[in-house]
Amino acid sequence: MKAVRTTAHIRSTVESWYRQHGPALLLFGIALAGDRDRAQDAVHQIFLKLLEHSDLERIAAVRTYLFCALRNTILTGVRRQGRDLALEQADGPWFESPNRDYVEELSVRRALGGLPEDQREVTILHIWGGLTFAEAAEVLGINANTAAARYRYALAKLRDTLSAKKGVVASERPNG
Amino acid sequence: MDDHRIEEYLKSFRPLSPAPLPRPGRQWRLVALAAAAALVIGLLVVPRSRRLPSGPAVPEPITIGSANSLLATSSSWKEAIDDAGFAFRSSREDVAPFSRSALEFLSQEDLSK
Repeated sequence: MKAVRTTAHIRSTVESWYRQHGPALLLFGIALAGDRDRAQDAVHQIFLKLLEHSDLERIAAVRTYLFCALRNTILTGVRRQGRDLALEQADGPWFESPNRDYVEELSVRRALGGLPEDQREVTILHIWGGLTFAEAAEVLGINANTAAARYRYALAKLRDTLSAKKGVVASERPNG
Repeated sequence: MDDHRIEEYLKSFRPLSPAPLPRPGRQWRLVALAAAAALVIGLLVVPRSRRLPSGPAVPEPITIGSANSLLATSSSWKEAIDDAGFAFRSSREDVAPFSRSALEFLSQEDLSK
């Protein structure tokens, strides 16, 4: 009976983590793998491994652990298959766009895709993953100051790209 | 747009949710189902194939002695004939593979002599 309770407890804990962090992990996975299916598989893989763990309490920083595990899983798979990352292959939306504006969603996706990989990683981890620069740095294996610097560069580029795009989009629409 | 506004703008785009987490036991269940199906099919097919004859039965030669002993032990002629398996025995003898027909033999005869 105790074993059943423990299994149910692990399952509910892992599922709550999945609901909470799954979307940001999938986004991070797509940005890393360049392919939605591979990212989805990797996310499932790390959570299914967690279900086999009986000592979830030992995971101190859940978010950092999950993003770190996902990054290792994807990069190990990429190295094993000897393939280069090509973000252009990642078709389909990445976001639920506010007001269902698919043009804006595409603009954000392209702006993110246009960033260098190291800047894109830290941007996704900080904005959508909710990680601090110290936590993002731990995931990426870099210094916290480096993570913060990369984020500042990325944000400046995103601002320029999206401001220009927003201007174009606004001028294309008769009512604004 | 300042940094704070661009951050807020980006956060307004919410990442899509991943597909539901698969149940870890489901694969094992599928494997177990496939194994059970294979077992049932095996149990249905194997006894049937065992019942099928593997090749033509070689009839035992009937001798006068064996026919006499059959007649002595059987209560009637019909039973003795059934027991000996006459009804199912082929009457055709296998033809030797190199034997020739009479017509073939005669056609090769030199009539000019």
